Amino acid sequence: MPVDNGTYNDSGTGRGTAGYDYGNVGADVNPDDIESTTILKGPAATALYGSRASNGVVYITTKKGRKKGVGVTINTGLTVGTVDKSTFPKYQNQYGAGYGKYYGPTEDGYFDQTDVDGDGNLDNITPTYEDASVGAAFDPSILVYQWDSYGDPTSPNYQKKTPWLAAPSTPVDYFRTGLTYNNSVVIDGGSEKGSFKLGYTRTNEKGVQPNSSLDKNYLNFSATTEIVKNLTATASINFTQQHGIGRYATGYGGNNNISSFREWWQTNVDINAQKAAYDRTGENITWNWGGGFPGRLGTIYWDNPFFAANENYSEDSRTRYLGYVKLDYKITDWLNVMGRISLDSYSQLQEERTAVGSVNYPPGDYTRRDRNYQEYNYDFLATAKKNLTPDISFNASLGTNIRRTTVTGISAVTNGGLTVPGIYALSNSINQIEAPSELFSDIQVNGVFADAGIGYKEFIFLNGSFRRDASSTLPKGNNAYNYFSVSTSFVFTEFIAENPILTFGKFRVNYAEVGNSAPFNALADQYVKPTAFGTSPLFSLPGTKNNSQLLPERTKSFEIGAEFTLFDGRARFDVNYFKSQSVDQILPVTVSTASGFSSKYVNAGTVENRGWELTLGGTPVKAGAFKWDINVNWTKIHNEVTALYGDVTNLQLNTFRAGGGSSNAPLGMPFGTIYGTDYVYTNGQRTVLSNGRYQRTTTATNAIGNINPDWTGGVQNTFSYKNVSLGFLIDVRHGGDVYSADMYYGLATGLYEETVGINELGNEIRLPKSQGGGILKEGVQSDGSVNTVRLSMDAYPMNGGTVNPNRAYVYDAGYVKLREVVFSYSLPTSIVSKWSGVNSLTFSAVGRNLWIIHKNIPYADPEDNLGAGNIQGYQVGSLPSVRNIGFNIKATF
Amino acid sequence: MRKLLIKPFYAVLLLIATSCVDDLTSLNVNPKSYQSGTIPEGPFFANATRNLTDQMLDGFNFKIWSQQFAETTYFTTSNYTLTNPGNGFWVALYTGVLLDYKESKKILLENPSLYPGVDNNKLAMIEVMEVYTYYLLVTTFGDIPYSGAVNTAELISEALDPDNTTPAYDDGEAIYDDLLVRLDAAIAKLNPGAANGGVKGFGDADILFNDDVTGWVKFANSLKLRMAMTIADSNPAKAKSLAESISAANLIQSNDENAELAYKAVTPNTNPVWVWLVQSGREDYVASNTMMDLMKAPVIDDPRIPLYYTKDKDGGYSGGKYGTSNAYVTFSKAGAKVTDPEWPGILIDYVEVEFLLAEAAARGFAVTGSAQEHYENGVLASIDYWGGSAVDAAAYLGDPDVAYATAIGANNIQKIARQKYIAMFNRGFEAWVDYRRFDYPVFNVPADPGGPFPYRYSYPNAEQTSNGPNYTAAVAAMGSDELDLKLFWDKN
Repeated sequence: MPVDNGTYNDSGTGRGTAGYDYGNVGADVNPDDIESTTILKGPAATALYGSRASNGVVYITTKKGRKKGVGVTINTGLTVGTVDKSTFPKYQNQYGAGYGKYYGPTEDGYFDQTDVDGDGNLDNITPTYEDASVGAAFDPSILVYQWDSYGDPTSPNYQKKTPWLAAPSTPVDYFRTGLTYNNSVVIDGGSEKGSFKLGYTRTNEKGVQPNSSLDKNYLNFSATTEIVKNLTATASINFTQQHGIGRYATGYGGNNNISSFREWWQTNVDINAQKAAYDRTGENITWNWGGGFPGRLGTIYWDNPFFAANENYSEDSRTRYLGYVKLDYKITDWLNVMGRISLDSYSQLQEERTAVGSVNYPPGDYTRRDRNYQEYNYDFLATAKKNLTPDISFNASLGTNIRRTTVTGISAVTNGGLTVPGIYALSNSINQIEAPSELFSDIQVNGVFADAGIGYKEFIFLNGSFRRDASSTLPKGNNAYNYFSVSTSFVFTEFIAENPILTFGKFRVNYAEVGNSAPFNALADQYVKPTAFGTSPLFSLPGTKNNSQLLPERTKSFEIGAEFTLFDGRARFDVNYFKSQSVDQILPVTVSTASGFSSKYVNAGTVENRGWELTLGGTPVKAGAFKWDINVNWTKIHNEVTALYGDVTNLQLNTFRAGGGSSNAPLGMPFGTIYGTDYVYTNGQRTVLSNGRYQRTTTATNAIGNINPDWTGGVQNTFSYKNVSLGFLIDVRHGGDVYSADMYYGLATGLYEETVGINELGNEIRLPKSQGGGILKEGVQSDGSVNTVRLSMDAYPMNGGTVNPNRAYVYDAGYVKLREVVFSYSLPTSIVSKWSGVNSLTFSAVGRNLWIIHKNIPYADPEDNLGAGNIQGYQVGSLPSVRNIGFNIKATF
Repeated sequence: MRKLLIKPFYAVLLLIATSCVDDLTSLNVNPKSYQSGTIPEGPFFANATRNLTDQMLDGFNFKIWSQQFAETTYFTTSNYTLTNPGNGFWVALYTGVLLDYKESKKILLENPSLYPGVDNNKLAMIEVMEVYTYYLLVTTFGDIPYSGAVNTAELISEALDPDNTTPAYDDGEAIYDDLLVRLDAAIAKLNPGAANGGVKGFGDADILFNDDVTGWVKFANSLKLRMAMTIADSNPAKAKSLAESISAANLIQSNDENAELAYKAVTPNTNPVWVWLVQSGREDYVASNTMMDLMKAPVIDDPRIPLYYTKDKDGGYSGGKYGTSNAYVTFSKAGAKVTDPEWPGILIDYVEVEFLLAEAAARGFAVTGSAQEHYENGVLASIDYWGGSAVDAAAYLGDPDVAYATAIGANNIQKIARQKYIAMFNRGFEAWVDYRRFDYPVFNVPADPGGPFPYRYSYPNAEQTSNGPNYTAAVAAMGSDELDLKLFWDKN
């Protein structure tokens, strides 16, 4: 049955502004109830599954009850997660807080100065209000009043000067060890008349970021019984309950501490001391006090990260029921009919808090979003399977599906702050709250489908399918669409005499189309109603123009391939060429705002993907009980936008916060082309301006990157000996680009090792240019002569931000990763059988994301992207990747 | 037995067949939404007007470039290191202002009332607001996509048409001429005598003048005067004839007649400056030394200093250095008045009108009153508006650096420009237009500029990506999309 796997994040999460990533609700399937997971790629097998399968199907087969007797399976596991430090910043440790020489009484020093201790001499004070590290060189002989010298009388350094030193602990120590416990028990049983299965799983996950946890309970029961001869009834219910705290913030801004650690930080701030300050006081004792000593103590840009994590956190819960009732009737040996009604229903609550005194919104606020989701599916399917002659097999099916999906919800937020700090309730709003917004969506799709296949002996198969859907979301009279598929395969080895080399060989060809309809309510225009201006009501047109002329979208795919088995299965080879086109894609495309709208629903155009998939497998060694299996796969996809609507030549998919770059779908170029400013070239060399910076183009439409990789591949090795097996998987991605807002800012604020060092004169680059500091950018001056003007590195934005064109922040996203290592050991039956009642006992250890063997982007995981939405190839506040090592024991009785 | 058992399947089939709703597509309506055809024109007019006034106060680019404020840590705006600066203004005016005015007009034309005089008043008010908004766009960007042209032979672009998502650009000067024709027609259409019961125009939805049509007549004529003086350098003959065509009685004649919007105490209808400076909790701006030094130049300190700004660290008044980093605690900041949630946003006021008339007279245009009278009225009205006393105002005007005859400035235009500059505090847009026209008072130059002083906004990056061919044509027609390109009215 279909399971909703939508994502429900803040609207900002998909755009790269700050938000929380609440994950994907498809994750509500009990992992311990999964027998197998199959990815049905592309639209080839979709007559049965309909429109939503146009991008493929994740087909999860759940476990069935056993045929005889009663059995118990117990599984227990523990996974330990640690941050991969190669995906997190390494900070320079030579210079501390500041933006340049702007401080002190004459505004030309690195410290603020006041006579704090009253000894008649000016004392140094850290410019705590500056979230950068372009300040004074560290020197233990300089004593400074730092962030912990005031604001907190319990601080060990309260009213004390301390030496000016790089912090012993850096923000990588913000992370803790993640722990996930997983326990499950399954009882199943059966007799000749039927079977049942009862399972319970509990997972408790403690995340690597402070105050983050996710607890889930799964309970599932299903039973099958033959009511009378040939009539079987099956019912299943899955109940899932989950509760999350402190979902990871994503994107840019105050919610996401990681965007501070990567972009805005002072290298003199000890992260462990920040933790101690929060633990001691429970208050927002930040490193980033507002201006003036010992003046205002509010936070200026960033909260104490531990205060933010522990006080400004999200909380979410979801209760979900997935169930169905099914009747199967076997009319004759070759004809079955099935009727099924299924329900997927959940209610969820997301709550977000901002504590009073937080920088994001100092008066504090509280948001709650309630959402109810229900999907009913009514299915009927008749299946026939018969051998027409001993050589000719035939199968056919005929079915209908009605899908009705209803979503309702409400979200509300306090207005003007919280009256009583610490109470997160709408009633605690200082001002009367604005009207909550109501969410509503109701979609129905009625489908009828048929498919038929015929096979001759074991060597030729032919299959065809047809489906017609009628959707509620398309224009009246044009809301039905048909699609079909044909496929054939041919086992040519049937014609070749049996030989020791080629054991099995097959050609296959298929073509498929899938239609798809529009989102809810994308046809007719509606108004939005802002909060009234006093007694005058306000109305406005929305930002997105709807379109009453939408056509169904369509995915067409063609595949041709062959598979070979050689040397009696010791070697396997599969090659596949594919070409798919997404035609008339329904998208709210970005349009010129001079049209009055920011976006408009259109049938946007055609995107073509074509490429090759190769799989090589083999068993190089097989000696006695020892076996080595190897599997290599390689995929190359060429992606191109081949048509756009009207006279439009480009779709802007998203803009990047840092520096004005964007992700685009230009005609004739890949979907996901990165546009931005480029270098200005003189005689083929980058042009350097008279201030030592690179000249940037005024045009922002230079193609400076492409998010799509050149190719991807993987190598899986498995070694097994009797009951022991060891496997490891290496993943490779070659090419593809990512735009890093983290580097755009972090290089400007002097956080990284790239911002210190020695220049060609042998001087510290951070010295003023007048003292021989600065760096020489490679290139020529506008007259074509080799650049001799150094760029000053003694003040923000150093060698980051707008000093360089967007192209400078585009990184290669390729990698080589040791993705997975799996070790498992099953106790020999000879031992287990001596223990009464035990059938099997298996130990396993799994390591995931253990090692990034090679990558080209510094301080980040090249695979990291924002959690949701159409945005790829953009990193901002990028989360480090987590190495997971898990241990598991499974026993069956 | 078998037949009996098959029956449930037929029943299920029947159920499925009949559960189909008669018209599936009727589901595709959100019962919570407001459908087209259900809402009158007034709320769109009010919304656009609120959004427009927000834009006159919002952001700080204009206030910074006119050197009313300096920056603290991130001084990229004041030293002209700019990336896509015009995007917000462009998007807000097209999508948040012009589109809602257009919708208001459309609803009105489709649903005429029994009182054509009242409908005409409403249409004229929409027209005045559209002219005001396009004036902002033309004087900021130059050539732009335009709508509602009278001169349809020359002006071909059709902005605000969702069926044309790639609108062409029209010539800025041709649009300007067209706007003046439209404004005259709107003024002629306004009729204070028309009424439907007690209602003469938009009624409650007229959040600027509370349904006072005479107020609109004065606002529209004052706008015409501003538009005349904007082209005084580029087309002096036209400026003269326009300025002389306006009757003094039809201009805004006191601070009580200002075209201004009184904000509310509670979000989301508060003064945007409060949102930026107070609600945000940020510390990005301090007073600029340019403005502060100017106000301290005379023998007597300008009585508006404590009304514009807060005291500095030492209890006096001082401005941060324009174009570089400043310590927030050290300097004066935006004062209590402009940061009050209810402080009004001005579209055009009496003070501005007096300075426009002073300039017109100084240029030798035949307007009622002398340059000196209008200059003095402007200074006094400004001090009065900000809450200064009449005694202080008179004393200030008596300062030889301020008194018209001896005031600072190489000529009468500079004298007027200097006092108008001081009076345009918190009205960054008008101050920026004036600086481009007068090139006076002398502005500070950032120590390490990241680019040239902006004489216009460059077009939004999104126009390059989403409207590429028309963007390219517009840039070719203008000669460049650089920030330092001077627009057609910015001569001398």
